Amino acid sequence: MLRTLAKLLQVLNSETEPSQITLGLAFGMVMGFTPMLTLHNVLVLLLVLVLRVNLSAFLLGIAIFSGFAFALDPVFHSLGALVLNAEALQGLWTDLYNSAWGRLEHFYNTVVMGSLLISVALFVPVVWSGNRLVLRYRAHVPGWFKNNRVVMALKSSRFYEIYQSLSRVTPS
Amino acid sequence: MSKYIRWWGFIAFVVIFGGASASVFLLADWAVKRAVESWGTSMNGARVDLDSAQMTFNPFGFALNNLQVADARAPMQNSLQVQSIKFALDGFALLRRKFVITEMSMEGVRTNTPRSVSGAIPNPPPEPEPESGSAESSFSMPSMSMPSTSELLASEDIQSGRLAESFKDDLDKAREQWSQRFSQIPGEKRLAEYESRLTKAKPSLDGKTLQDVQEIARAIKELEQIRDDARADLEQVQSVKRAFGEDLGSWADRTKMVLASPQEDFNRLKAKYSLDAKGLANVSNGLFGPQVADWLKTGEYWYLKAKPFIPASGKPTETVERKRLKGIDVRFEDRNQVPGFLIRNIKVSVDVTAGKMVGQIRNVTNDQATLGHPMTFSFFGEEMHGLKDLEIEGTFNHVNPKATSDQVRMKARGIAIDDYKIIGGKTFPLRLRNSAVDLDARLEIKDAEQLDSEIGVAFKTASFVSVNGEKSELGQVVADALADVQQFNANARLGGTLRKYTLDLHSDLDERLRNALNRQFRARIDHALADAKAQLEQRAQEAMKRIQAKLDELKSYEQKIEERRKQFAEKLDKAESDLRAAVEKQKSEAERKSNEAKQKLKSETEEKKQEAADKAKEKAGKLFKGLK
Repeated sequence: MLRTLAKLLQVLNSETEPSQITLGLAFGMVMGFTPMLTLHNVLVLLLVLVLRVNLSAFLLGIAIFSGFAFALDPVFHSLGALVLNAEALQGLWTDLYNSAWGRLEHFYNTVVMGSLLISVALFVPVVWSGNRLVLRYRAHVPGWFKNNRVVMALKSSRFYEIYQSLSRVTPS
Repeated sequence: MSKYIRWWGFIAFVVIFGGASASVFLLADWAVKRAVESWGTSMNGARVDLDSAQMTFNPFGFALNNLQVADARAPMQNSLQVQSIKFALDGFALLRRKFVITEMSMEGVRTNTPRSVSGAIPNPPPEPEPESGSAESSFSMPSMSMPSTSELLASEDIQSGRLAESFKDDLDKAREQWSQRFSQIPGEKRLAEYESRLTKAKPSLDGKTLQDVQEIARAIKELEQIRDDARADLEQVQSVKRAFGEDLGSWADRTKMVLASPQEDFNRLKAKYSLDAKGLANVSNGLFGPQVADWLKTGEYWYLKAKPFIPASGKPTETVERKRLKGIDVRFEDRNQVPGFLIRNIKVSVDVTAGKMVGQIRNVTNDQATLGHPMTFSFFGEEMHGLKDLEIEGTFNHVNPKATSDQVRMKARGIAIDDYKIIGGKTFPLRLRNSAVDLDARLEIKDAEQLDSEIGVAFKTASFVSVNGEKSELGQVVADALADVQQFNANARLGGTLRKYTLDLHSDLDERLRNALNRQFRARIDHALADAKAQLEQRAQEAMKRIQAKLDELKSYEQKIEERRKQFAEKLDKAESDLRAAVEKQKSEAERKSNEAKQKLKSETEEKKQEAADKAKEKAGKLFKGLK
């Protein structure tokens, strides 16, 4: 975890495209929010591996959003139940239920449906706001940090050692 | 392009999923073999072995080679061996976690084949056991000798003697019990105690008011205590009396049973040795009953073994409700509803001793209610030796779980019987030779329990041979009667429940045998039965005398208990009457005291009045004197 965080900081401070970082984080959110063994997560894994998104951000995203998912499960369940029981959507769900892909996706589970809807809905906002945050970070934080006493103290810690050792590695 | 695409990532993805898929395919054969063997062994109660399993892709399914199902009752034998099983799986159903086999073929099915290693397992599940009292016990070959009266009474199950003996033993035990119990109820000593306490409780009055009142109060308290004690003892005696009354009732019932038992024994003997359709002349029961019972026992064993696989309740699949935080699976309309386990069609080829049987089984499932169709099967014989035509078809209908019906119909033509041993032994060895038989059977089990079946067998040609042996006289008569039989029909009707069935067997032979036996034995049987009846009654009378003596002895306790009850009742009455007298005395004493007090008060008032009048008079005299 410490290593992943250090990697992320190193990526933040490198010249990696902000969208690569935030896409990794957003895909991590989808996988973290929704139950792991579902069809859409295979697709997410494929996209993460094939597209040049940042893997550290992706792993960190899974860790962070899995934690949130425990607390948000009741919300996912309520939203999923609401959508799956919506009268207007019964035809769609029944078609999906009778298809092999639908069964593999396990969409008819309230938590799967609720968490997928929320993560899809948050995907673009997370990417957009993430990009802005990365840019702002790069503009202001590194300069301020350099002269900060706490940071100076941190520089003598193990965390900084890891960060330094990783900084020699080219970011993916 | 490479700015956005990470090619090594794509290759990694392919490697990960390709590797996972390859592992599944490589391990599938092993996993299926293990699953068949472990699941089969646990269900069968003996080893199930499979040589190999291979996954097939077109169609998607498996091929199983040399399946051996060991016989739990004979572990060195396979109850079933199948050379090859091939089946095609419904992939879409599998994605829905349903195991649906669309087509299955079973080649080289054989039964009762030898095994090279024992099929026994360390802790087998209990075998299904038929309940006691099944029809098996009702089959007994008529004794092929005519016993004398004494032999008859010695060899037959005579209940009257047993009943009388057991009643006598029970009366002996009862006498000991009642002797002990009677000694435990309150007796003479207790009665004497009451007498003494009642005497002491009587109040001794000396005319002194205060002491008398205290004495009466003491007597009342003491008498109340005596009354309560006497009441408790009386209740104890009365409860013993009630228990004795119940025993008396049961002894009376058993006396009636003992008295009636000689007649019942006689009726049984008469039925057995009479020359009617239910007795000795029912040769069908005697000749074929044991064999039919044996078949039924085997059939029952396999039906009970197969019962767990036949849908019993047919409960529809319930909605899976997962634990909280894992959500709930919402069920939508399933347009192609199938049960969790289904084999749509099995083509079977069975090698039997007589040749080969081919057939098919449809809709094998544990949930017919969901499928909406019953399981059906049909088989017919091919290249059969010693059998012209064989057809077996059946339906296991559990679509409506509340009204199930399992039916099997069998039709066999021209079954050749070269030499069949009907009865062994020395007294009446009988064989059936060179016979051709037609068989029509309809077996039905309703609601998984009720039997309703009929079997008709036509022996188109028949030849009974009573081979060399030391035949009894009766055996000789039966052998002679059957010697010229060339054809006959036999019918069986099966009823009752699966575990307690009744079998009624009749044939054309019954009438023939009855006539033969009548000619030879009628007078002797009647005489033997009459003699047996007389002896039974005489034995019962003797037994009853001994029983009556024991009963009389026991009845003396009734008198003793009643006497004891009266004594305690008297003591209770005495205590109550003394108590009433004491209370009356207390009341009258209290009234006397009250009257005395009133009288005293009255006289005191009178005195005071007189004194006041005298004073007033004196005062008035003084006043007049002054005025003057």
